[in-house]
Amino acid sequence: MAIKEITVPHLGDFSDIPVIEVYIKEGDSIAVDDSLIALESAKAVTDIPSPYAGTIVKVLIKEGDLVNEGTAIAEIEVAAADEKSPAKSEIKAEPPIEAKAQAAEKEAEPVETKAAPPPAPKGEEAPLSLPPLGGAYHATPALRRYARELGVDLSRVTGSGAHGRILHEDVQRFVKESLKGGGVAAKPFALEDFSAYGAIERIPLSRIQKFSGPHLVGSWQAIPHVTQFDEADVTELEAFRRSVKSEIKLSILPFVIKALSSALKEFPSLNASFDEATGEIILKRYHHIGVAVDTPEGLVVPVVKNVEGKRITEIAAELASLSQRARDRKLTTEDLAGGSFSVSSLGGIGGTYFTPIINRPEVAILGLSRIKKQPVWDGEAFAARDILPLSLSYDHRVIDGATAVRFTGHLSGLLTDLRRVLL
Amino acid sequence: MKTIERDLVVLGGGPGGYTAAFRAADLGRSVTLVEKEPVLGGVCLNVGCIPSKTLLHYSEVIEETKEIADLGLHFPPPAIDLEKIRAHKAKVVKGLNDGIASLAKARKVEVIQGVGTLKGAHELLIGDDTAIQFKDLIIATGSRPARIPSIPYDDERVWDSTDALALNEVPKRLAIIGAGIIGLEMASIYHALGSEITIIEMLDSIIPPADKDLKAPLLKAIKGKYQIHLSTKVEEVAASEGELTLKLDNGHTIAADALLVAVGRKPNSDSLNLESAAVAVDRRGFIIVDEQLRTSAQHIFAIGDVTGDPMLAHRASAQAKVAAEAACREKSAFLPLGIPSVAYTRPEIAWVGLTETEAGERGIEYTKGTFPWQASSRAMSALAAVGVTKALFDKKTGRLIGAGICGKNAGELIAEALLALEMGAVSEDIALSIHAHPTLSETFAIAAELALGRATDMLNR
Repeated sequence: MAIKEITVPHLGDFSDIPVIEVYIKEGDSIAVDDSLIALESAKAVTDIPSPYAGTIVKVLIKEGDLVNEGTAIAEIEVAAADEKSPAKSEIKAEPPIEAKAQAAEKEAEPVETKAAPPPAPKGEEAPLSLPPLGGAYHATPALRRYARELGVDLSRVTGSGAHGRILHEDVQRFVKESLKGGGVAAKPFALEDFSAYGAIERIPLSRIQKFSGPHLVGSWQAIPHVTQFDEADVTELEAFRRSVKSEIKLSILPFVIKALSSALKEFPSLNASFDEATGEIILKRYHHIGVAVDTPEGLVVPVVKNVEGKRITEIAAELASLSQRARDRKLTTEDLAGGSFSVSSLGGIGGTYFTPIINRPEVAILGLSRIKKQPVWDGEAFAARDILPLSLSYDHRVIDGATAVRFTGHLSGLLTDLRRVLL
Repeated sequence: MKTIERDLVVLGGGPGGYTAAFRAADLGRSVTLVEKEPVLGGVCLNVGCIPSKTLLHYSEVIEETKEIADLGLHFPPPAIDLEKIRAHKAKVVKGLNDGIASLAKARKVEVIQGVGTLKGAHELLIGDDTAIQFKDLIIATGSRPARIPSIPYDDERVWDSTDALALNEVPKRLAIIGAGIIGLEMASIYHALGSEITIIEMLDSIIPPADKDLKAPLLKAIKGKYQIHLSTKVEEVAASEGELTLKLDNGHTIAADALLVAVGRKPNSDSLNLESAAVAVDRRGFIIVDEQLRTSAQHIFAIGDVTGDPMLAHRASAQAKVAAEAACREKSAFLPLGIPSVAYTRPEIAWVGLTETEAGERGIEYTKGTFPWQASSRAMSALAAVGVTKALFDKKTGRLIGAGICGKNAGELIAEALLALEMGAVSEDIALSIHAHPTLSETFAIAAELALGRATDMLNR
């Protein structure tokens, strides 16, 4: 038996990553690859697995700490057999913080709940005069009153004082962050008792939803969204796509990404971020396209880097690999970082148009819906054409309406005749 | 009958009621206080805590002069002038009555004497002659001694706590039913004045809510002085001209010249006509309130004994402030971590937060530090080596969850534990705070050190 220290592995080019959950406590016995902590980085929740099996002797980290590669997580008394060879740790990235609202969460098991207890009727005991001692938080009476006045639920505030004591500053910070649009509303919306109207069921939000929610709220509240709808005639493109003999199955997505890159070159303000502090627009000379991928755990947005220099088949191959790794939960934080523009494709499912939420700090997102055969007047007669619906949400502080509609028109033209990409 | 319109009405002028009235007045409300007695202060001031503590001071002096006789200081036996004692007690009470009355006047709180009964959700009838229409109401009607059937209450030798505090006579033999705080305090007073005391308690211990080890020093101290029958019921009380005869279910028969019945208190909620205002009570008659002290009627609040245990003046006045603030739309809540209980016995017992029993019931794992006062230099020099200080800490968080003290001045000493509890102090916070030596207060710090296993004044177990 020996005591080893477990440290944070290489996480890509990130520093000061917040710990959002600590799964272990002293005395826990764990196996290799059991999750130790969850980190929030690059809009994803990343579990750090244990390289050893054994018993946790000491936890050296707490929620809210900022960590880097090499930061000590815990001391573990290693089972003899494991002493020499720490298992190679694979960082699994879990879905995340998604810029689109349609995360279909599958892991959430429905939980049977009884209707909320009705107000105490006559004949019941008066409630215990002593409330549950200590509560879920650690704060002095004056601070509890202060929090009550501000409507802050102290069980949601992390204490920075000794032994986790919640200090005045902690409450102030919590309120400031809430106001900033971190999205954590200080007081939840008061619901009525729906069970009065019929049977109800309560299902907890998944961890992924819990973390993505505030980001979605933040983006939605901070960015004045406008969504431009347009359509592209992709009849020739579809005929060409089907005729291509390729090792990998080619969907229309890599073609759209290639055309998108070409369009972004013409309209650089859509491939940008807005620096609210300085009032500047940061144009990005690289085209890193985030693509929403549906996995059993929910949606992830891995990023295909530098599509401007890649061939369509290369993009397709990379997309296939990213999707597979997403489903196997093997994406690294690097796979999820650095996006400059996002695409959300619901084409495989259906629908016509939708209004995607911008993946902050990007300034635009393109939604693709299902291609439909539609009658189009060609000047003499109606012809059956393949029409792809486009939905572009953009940050109106950075992009004006004329630019947006020119952009979608340009993109539509590129998709109708892909040869123009070469021009 | 005349009808008057008022803003905020407080029903009951005890420590809960007058505090609520004063706080609400300070917050700008126009307040009317309705009290059935001609003076403010309620049971606590007039026939409870204050007169009993005044009399207990006499018993303390008497007992101390007795105890020190063996140590080389002799006093003649006390000569007791009951009339003077009663006059002193009345003076103390009156001084405080006047103080409250002048505070009410200075705050422009209108005081109406009368018995209030609800008529609907917005009207309070005062006797037969006045109806007050109110916006908000705070009910603070308190409690009264509970009675057990089969006791001849009409006999003037049968007392409740009010009769006992009247101090009309010192009976040669006083029997007391109930070994709770009130029963034991009265035993102290009358024993010192010369009565032979017999205590009969239905449950298996004195002061049932407190932990056994906390009560042990007290039990030891009173066992030689009183006859105590635990786990015993009184089957019959027979009143003859010469004496009262109590038949106990353990076979004993007790002859007494007076009988004090101190078997708990019941809420004054039954004659308020609460149903008419849709104010809900529980099965024992206590008014059900939320953490803002609101009853099931949104504009009617209730505080103090009428809302349940523990029936203590300091709980009532703390609730009073919350209710007054809530009635003034402030975001107050009554969520204390602890309410101290004090028995002014000899030695005193005081505790706050969770007892060991309660911690066990809640499944909280705790560490305990117990410091016996035989090892306290201050206690020894003050002839107070009968006592114990103990502190309970949550094993997980290290935080104080409860504390208990038995010994001289326990009621004062518990304040430190209460503050530590509310401030979320961990055992180390208490152990590292330097306490004066030699004092009784340092026993609390040593208890914390014992819980940490780093005491020096005693061996760590």
